[in-house]
Amino acid sequence: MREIIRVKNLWFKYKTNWVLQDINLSIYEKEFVALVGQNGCGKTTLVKHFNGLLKPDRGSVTVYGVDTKDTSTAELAKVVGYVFQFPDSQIFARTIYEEVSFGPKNLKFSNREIDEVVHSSLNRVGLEKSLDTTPTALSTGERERLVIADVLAMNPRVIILDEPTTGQDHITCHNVMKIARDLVNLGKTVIVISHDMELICEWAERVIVMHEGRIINNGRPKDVFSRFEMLRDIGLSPPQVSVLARSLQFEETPVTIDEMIDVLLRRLCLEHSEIC
Amino acid sequence: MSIVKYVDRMSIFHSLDPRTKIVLCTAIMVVSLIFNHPLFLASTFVFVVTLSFIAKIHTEFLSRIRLLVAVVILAFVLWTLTYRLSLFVPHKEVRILLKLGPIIIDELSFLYGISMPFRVLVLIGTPLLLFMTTTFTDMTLALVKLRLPYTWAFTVSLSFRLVTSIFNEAHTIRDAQISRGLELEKGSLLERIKNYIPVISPLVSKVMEMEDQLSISMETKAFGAYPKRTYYKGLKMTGVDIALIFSSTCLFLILLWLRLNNVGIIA
Repeated sequence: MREIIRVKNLWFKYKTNWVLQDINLSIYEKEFVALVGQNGCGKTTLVKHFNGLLKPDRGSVTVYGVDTKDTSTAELAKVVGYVFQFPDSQIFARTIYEEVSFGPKNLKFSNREIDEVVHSSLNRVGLEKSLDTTPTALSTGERERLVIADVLAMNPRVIILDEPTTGQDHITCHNVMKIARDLVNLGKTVIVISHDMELICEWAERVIVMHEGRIINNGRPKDVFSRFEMLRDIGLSPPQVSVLARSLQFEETPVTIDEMIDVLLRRLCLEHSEIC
Repeated sequence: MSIVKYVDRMSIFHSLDPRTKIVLCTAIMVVSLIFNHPLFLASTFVFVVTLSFIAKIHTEFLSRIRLLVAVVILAFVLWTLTYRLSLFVPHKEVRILLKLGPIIIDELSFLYGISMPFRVLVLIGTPLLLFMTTTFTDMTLALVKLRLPYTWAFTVSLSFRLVTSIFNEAHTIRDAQISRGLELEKGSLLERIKNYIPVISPLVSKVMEMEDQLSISMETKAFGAYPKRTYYKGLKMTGVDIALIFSSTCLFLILLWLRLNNVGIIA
């Protein structure tokens, strides 16, 4: 797979406090990556380097081979879309149309292109409201989908979702992750920050674990969440099915309910071959 | 970053009764308003900076004061260029220092140009010093002890506390809109002002929402249920406080007397 973001020996500090310390990381095309870690471990600070909102104090971040230090955020917005944690931080327009068309207008899309991308991005997130609707009239879940549509309308190749499921109900959480998965299937790269381990295990392909400004683990959800001691040391809880499997002293560590069912069926078949 | 954030230090200035600090800071600000000679105003500012050294917050204080560079330059330019247009310009002959077409800079306007940035620095720096060395709780209590109704005192201290949250919120919104390709500093002055609409509009909504939630939260915690309040923490004036209030009052009266005798003014 093609490497699209490369982080090399990245160090970053707020005032005198080093928030990111010697980060080395590669993100590849069409990946669905999850970034996890306790509050304040540097997840948001790290992703803000991907669209140039923050510039490294030491080391480098390159996006499609371009050093972010040499590029403005407005320029990087063409390739990296960033959905902020709280939708209300970016919604400002009087209508949905005006809101979604804001990004494409900044990127100098033609009027015809703007109409097209507004409709397609709203369809993509399943927001079937009149384009004249006031964004404030939308529910929290709908506003979350609206800000995703805002970013999709700019047609970026990388989409960062900063805690998109915080405070959302179960169905909305799954809808948001499904939208993210669809985007990956369309060839986009998605980076999600989340505290919901169950959701991450179900949808993400790779998990990056951060602790106190460093990456301490990076791999498939199955591999990362089988390291119980490491997770406990940094205050993260593995998915409940993994905890259950550990309590039942299973050799494998399932991370999703489907995997747990597979493991249980296999064990059942081993012990009672007559029923399989 | 918060401009008015309290900086915790073990210093004599921190340990003063907040009422003493309020009296002292008010006196300093009044002094900066009654004098207009650059020498007096510069000395007043130096005194404020000295207090920040005594309070051991000089690093933080000066770094926050540094944010006023643009204001200081603007004050200098505006006063130097526009003083002669003022209604209160005394009718007397003064030496012209520079004449460039309609722009005339004379001795008086130049002196005012130097004075006013110092006045701005004192008027902003003094309350800053007060808030950087006094917690919001102490400030509320001090205002109540100074006979201000509790609701008013609480509102005053709360509004300063909210500055931090509003500042952080504005920063987040700005980042969110820049991420959507917005270039704030692009275009003419009018265009640049227009560029800020996507930042200001959600900020206003956020602040209103914040205020609404705060008032609901306060009501659920029975704010204002009993008109007469009791306080867990009390304020007590020490000998140092009384000595300081006495000496600063004496100094203030001397300065007032000097001012009444036309000392420390340009014209």
